[in-house]
Amino acid sequence: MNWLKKGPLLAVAGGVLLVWVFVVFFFDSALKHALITGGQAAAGAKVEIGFLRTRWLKGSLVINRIAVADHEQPMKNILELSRAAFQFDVSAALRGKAVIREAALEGLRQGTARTTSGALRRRPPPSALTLAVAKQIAPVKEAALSKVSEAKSSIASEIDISKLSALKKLEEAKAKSKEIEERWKGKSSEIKEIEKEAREVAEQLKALGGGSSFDIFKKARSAKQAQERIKALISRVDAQKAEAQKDIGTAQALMKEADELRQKDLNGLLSAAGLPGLSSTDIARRLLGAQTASRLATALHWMQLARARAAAKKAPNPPPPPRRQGLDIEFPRAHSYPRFLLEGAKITGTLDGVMGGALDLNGELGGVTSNPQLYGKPATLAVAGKSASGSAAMLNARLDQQKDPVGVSLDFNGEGFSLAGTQLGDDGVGGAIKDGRAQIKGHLSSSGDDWNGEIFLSAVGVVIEPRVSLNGASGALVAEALKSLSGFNVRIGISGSEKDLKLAFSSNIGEAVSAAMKKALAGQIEAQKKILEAKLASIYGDRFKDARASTDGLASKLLGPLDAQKSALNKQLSDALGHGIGKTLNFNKLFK
Amino acid sequence: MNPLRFLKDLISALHGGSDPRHLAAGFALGAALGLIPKGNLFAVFFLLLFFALRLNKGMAFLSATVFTPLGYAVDGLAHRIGLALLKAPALQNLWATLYDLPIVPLTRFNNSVVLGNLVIGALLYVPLYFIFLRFALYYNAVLAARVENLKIIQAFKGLRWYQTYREWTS
Repeated sequence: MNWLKKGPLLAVAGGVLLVWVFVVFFFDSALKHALITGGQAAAGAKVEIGFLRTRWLKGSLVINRIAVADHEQPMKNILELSRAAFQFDVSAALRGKAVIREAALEGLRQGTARTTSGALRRRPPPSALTLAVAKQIAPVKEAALSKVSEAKSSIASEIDISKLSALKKLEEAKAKSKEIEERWKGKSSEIKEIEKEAREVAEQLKALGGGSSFDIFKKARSAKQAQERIKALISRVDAQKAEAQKDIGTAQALMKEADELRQKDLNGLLSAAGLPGLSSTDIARRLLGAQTASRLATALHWMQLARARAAAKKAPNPPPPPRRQGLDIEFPRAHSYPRFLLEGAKITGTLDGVMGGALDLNGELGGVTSNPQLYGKPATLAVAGKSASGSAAMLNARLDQQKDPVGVSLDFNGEGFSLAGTQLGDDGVGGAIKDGRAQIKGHLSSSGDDWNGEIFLSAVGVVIEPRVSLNGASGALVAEALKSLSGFNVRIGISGSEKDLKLAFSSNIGEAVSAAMKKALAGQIEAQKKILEAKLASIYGDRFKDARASTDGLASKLLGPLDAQKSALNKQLSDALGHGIGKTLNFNKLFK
Repeated sequence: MNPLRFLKDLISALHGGSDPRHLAAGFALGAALGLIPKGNLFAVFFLLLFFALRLNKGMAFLSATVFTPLGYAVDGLAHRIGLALLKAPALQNLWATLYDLPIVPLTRFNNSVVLGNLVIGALLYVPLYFIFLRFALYYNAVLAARVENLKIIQAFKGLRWYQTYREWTS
């Protein structure tokens, strides 16, 4: 045994021992840390793992208690699992592949409360999708019912004349009328020239009256020339008239604008006084926007994440890998496994507090892989549940990772969802739903950058405990309107690309509140309107009459002389025609 | 497996008491170990070589420590070399065979950065060995005595715990 030296042998044995010590004592911790880090990067919120244990010889991995916080609602978990067990293919594991033949995800719960915030210390910036949802669906806090409790009673005394835009427009109209009038005074020479020429033509026609009948052809020719001149003069008068009408139109348009601005001034003063617009859509967004936007943003975030991850794997020119990580190239033989494959995972769980009673969930997750092209099938998730009370829910998700572009779709349908405990609106206008059931169904899909889908929620048997802090009759009526609601519908339509996402939000919940507000505030609005209108009428009064007189006066001043000139020229023309066809011929003598 | 052995090796190297070939081998192997990303069987394999071969472990440890951050610096180059090799048509059969063997894929040879750094480490091994060998010879001949006479080294050697350590290891 001369060739085998004790020292190096012991050294190698020591090295192996070191590796073994690392695996036994540190591998599980390292894997747990890696799973938490990866999960947090994906979820954008905290991920907690209670206990993790790998058994190399058995090829199993067991994780107890996994909690993934909701990045939209950090005090809630979007998902919680009491136990997850994975059975690995040991032969594939020896080849560096994580092939999970079967898995069990047990104790699935959703929306469970957290004792600590699930927000990350460094929260990732919101995605374009989240921003689009926030912009188009999140509550409109400063609209619809804003400042209604601050409605002033003496707004008419606070009118600032310098801010009335209609007054400025009236002054503009008046100045324009004056400018037009002055300009037309300068044009009087043109009118005089037409008059002068018309007189000359009249003289010419008069001269045609004498002479013998043998000069008939000469007279006809002269009459024709006179006709041409008169027609030219009429054209000149028409041109002048058209120009005058254009100027008059400009002045009148300014008057019309001033009139419209008077109404806007009135609305502006009403708004400044705290009298609301009462848009039913805005009220619906105020009541339901926060809940809807949060859930929708979460759903879109996970769908986008799944699609983006699958698409990145298929990119023909992937971006440079992060430092020290490199790029893994697979060299699969026929029928070999991808580097990671979750063939199938049975999901069991209980959905508490969502359906009024416990909903037993059963489902399956499969086809999750690192190499979609090799695996060739979509990743699917199907979960269904039914409660003893008859409530039911189902969710089907599909990631078409092998297609180009990668598509992701989500279909869900559930009835009997309990709405009890749901908060509506804010401290100003809102309430808590004490009882009620909802049916929700929807379809969301994304292919490449394009999004499509529709979500419909119908709530019935709703009992709302209003929380309204509006003063006066409006508060009581809105509270009454919320109290009287027994059901409502919400519809969200999604379309467009990721950069230009279009969301259509509609709900009839705003209509009831809006109607109540209108009813409550109708008296106040009318009274304020009347006071304001009277005040505005006194402010505008003479100014409006002056401006109107100026513009109306323009018509008579400009068009009057031109109309008179034109009628005179028309008369001359008919005279000239008479001369042309032989007015001078004495038919009585001719046929005597 | 005494960790202080590394220190002793290093000190021994500093005052010219080590075989220059062992120093050079330690330096070159440490460089290869430092360059390769950890967390794969190659790293484990190099670690085992580190223990098994007759080389200056102190120098290997120092070299691995120095070359680990250098690995980050040459990541881009390593990725390009690794990717070119992994995608080379002539090598596809070799890679596919290796990929299908048990254990071998755990080396992560199919990762561009791992393979690239392995190639860089292998290519640098021989030049680094000879460069460091020449340096070690020069050091032993010229610099070792000067270093021995440095005040800081004298002060260090005068420390009680160093004396105790010397007695213990000798």
